[in-house]
Amino acid sequence: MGLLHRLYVRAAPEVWETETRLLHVLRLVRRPVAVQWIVTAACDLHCPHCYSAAGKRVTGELTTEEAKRLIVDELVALGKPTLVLAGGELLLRKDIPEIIAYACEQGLEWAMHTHGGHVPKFRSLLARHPPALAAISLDGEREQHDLFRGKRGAFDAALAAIRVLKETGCREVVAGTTVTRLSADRVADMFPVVAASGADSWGLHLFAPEGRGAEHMALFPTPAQLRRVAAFARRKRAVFHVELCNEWGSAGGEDLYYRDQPFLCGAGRISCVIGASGEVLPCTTTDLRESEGNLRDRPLRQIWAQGFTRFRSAGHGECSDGKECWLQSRNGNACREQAFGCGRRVG
Amino acid sequence: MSARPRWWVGLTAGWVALTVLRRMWRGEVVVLSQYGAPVVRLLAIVLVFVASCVEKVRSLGADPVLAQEPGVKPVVIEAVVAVEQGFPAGLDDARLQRVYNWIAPRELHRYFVRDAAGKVLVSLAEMDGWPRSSVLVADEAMNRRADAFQAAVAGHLSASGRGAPAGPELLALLDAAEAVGVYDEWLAGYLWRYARTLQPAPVTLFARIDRHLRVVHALALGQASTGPLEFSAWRSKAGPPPGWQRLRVPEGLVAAARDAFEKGADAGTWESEAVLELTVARGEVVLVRRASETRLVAGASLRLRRLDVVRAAEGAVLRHATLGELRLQAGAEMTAWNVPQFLDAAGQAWVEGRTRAALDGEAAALTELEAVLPAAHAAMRAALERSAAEGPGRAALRMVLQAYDE
Repeated sequence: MGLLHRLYVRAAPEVWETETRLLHVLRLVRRPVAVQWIVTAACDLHCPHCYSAAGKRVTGELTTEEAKRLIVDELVALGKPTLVLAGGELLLRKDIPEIIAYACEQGLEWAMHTHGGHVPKFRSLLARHPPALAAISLDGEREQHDLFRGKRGAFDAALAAIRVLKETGCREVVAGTTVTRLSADRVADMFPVVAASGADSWGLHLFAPEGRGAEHMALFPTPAQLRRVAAFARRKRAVFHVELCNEWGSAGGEDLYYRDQPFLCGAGRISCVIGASGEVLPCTTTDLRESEGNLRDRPLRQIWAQGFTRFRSAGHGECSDGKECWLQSRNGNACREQAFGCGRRVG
Repeated sequence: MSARPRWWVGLTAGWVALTVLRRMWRGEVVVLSQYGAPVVRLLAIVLVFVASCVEKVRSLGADPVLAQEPGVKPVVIEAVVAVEQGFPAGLDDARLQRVYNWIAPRELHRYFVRDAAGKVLVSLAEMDGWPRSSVLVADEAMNRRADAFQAAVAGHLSASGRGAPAGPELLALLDAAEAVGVYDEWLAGYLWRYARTLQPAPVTLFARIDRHLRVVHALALGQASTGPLEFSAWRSKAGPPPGWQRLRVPEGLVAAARDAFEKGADAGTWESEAVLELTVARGEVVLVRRASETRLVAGASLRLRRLDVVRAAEGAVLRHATLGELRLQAGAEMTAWNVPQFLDAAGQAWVEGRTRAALDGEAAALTELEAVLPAAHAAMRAALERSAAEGPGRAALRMVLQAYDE
């Protein structure tokens, strides 16, 4: 076990690529590890970076029965990957307790991404069915967070949500911060707030120009900011569980300084996203142009097996290597590798 | 090998080939079963292993590439003090596991935090449950070392409450930590910050901190080959599996760390951040690094790190591309802490000017200060103290300053 594990970890990216090629040749696909469902497009906040461009509920959102049949039952058949609920604000959906209870009865593990404002109202549900992981958005200190989220009291609500989640038995509560040009210089000031919040870890996301974010391209951090935040994350890992999330891309051999596991893009390989109206997408930071089909037309199992071919043919095509994100370059962002110059010797 | 197994191997291979051909013909794709997944993974591992062996055999004949230092060749004199720079002999997986059972990684700093009145918030002594009461540890020597570390922390906190501790006290704290197997990056930075006022510069302490940081870095590098200390399913956005919270030191971690250390693991961000690139313009200086002295004559370049000391017995002039000349009088000693006092008037004016600009939110000024942090940190601190109002560049200045302090 020791040798095998060592061999696997040491060569993780190579093993991953080789495995991808093998699977492609053998006409096989991996089972998903996590499937994210954009439960609703409804949200009571109006954040400028929102990849879902959330606000009002969209027409054609999946019904309760459809959610159970087309998502939960299909995930059970796909080997029970983790069901990640996101939005919009998932807790605005009235039938969410019923769907969560049903998923748990079927043996699915679930996780959620929320702004936290409604979490205390669901204390009993969370105690009955605690999520395996909950990510709460925290975009700055009180003033900055409330300003960015467009609602006074949003910061206090997020901190209250973290407390409730820990009290109700959530195994890992993550404070999630989207690094933008406005917040990049403030992450050092934020650190004491996050460390004292009760969160188990701090996930630093990177602004993506998708959804409403596409209307605010100027929010993308400067190269110097990217480098500083990455260096900050590396240093702070000595005292807190800080991770650079997948939007940051790979740091190559230096990945171990920024995250627990080497970066591997799971889009269409081990994870996918189901939109509010049932469209199946490779990842959250994309849009309907990338849809592989709709759950109402084809079952998820079929879409998973037959779709996402661009992501599964290692070494052939722009989406296949998992190292650089085609999406970032499509949207005019420079290579994110500039974030990781901090660990290299200068001179 | 008898004919029977070969017949079965042939039949299985044929069946797999036919299945694949049939799928290709019909355009079918199948989701991998839970039994098939480890088989494919194993096959991938074997292929990668074979490929790496081939690569290794091919590279055997190649000449090693030697690193060339630019500029004038420095002269290594001799070690000034006997400071152990090797990998700690007593450290092994079991000891590391015991230590992490007691003080988890990223937790040590909590026992040094004081409230506004100077009172320590959480005492290490309050964690008396370990090791004595632990059934896992029936090791009296470890217990004694743990007690000694507890006492050293308490002693240090008491002494630091009365004033700045002396070098030997800081060294004693580091000794006690390492004796029990605590290797912690935060502790290294903490000791370094406390040592800033010590005169002469605590060369031995700096060398020990350097080694401590290299061990920490080597342990991080070791995890790249053995797997991480703790599991997290972060990248998949899925939750970790049940039972993950139990911290496990992966088998062979210390051996892998020793290997990384011996292959030259450096001090991590202490090697790469907050450095100052200098050239010896006139005279000669001695660079004290890891308790070894290197004589640098005019024309030689040096990279002042936060754990280095530069001495000028006869007086010397150093030059920086942006800051200009730094004059060291005979007998002067320069560390990253006191660089600003060696700047000439033009250099000081430049630092002051760029600090003001950075405070006003000029991004280019901040980047320039970042490149000369040892020379600029004092001016940056002073500027932040002077301007109480929240200006556009204050947050960024604080952030960059942290890169120096941590």
